[in-house]
Amino acid sequence: MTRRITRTALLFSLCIILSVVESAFLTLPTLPGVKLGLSNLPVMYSLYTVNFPLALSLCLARSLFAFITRGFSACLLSLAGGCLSVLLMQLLLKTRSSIALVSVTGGISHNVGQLAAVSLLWSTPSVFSLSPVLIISGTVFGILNAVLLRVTIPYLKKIGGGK
Amino acid sequence: MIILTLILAIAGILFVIFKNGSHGTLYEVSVNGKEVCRESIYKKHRIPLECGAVIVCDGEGVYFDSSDCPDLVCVNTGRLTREGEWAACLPNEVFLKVVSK
Repeated sequence: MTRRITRTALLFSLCIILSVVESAFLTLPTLPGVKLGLSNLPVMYSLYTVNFPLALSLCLARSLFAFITRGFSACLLSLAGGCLSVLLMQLLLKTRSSIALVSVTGGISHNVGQLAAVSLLWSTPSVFSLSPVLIISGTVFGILNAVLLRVTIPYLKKIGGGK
Repeated sequence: MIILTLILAIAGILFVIFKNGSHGTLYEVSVNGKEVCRESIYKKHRIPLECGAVIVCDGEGVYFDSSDCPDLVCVNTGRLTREGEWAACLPNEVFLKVVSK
């Protein structure tokens, strides 16, 4: 029981810290929204080794953190992107796809969710012109994240991170 | 593997479609979802907004010159010239878009 609480707390703090870390990286000129996607790692980990509700609550925590630090619109974007991402990843998990595919889907759907939120918030469908850049970066960083996850899961399982 | 190639192909096609827009002639500035001004891109103009962002038009393109927001994504987006290009300052809720009529 204590192990579960500790693990949940660790995952929550990891998620938030990673989202801070990835915001600290330079925003590329002319490419808004391209991010490393590191904050998806704890979410994916909890999808694989724990359960879906924990992954969803990680997304909610991340959005709450965005609300506290960056404001209302950032929170909405994070919610939209995160929830869509987690839902699609969970669906893909059921079909036993490769971890790379799950990660890429998570990244792309996160970006698509954010774009959809922006277009609804300000009634401007033209934001989707950014989608090619985001699809490519989502794919690249999705694969990177999958590799990272593959590398770290064995070590985390050894420390007793599983069920 | 096939799926990944498909995804990248779609991205490439979309990229080509969007990047070949015509040169814009007007730009729109919206704050909080409401249109604040609509000017010609050929006229040099400097628009300081109440929220803290400054939009500058230099006769050929329009861009966020400076902003008081913490992430500066708007300023980093750079210069917009083609129709359909946009930049946004999320914390200040400013949206800048290049249109043509």
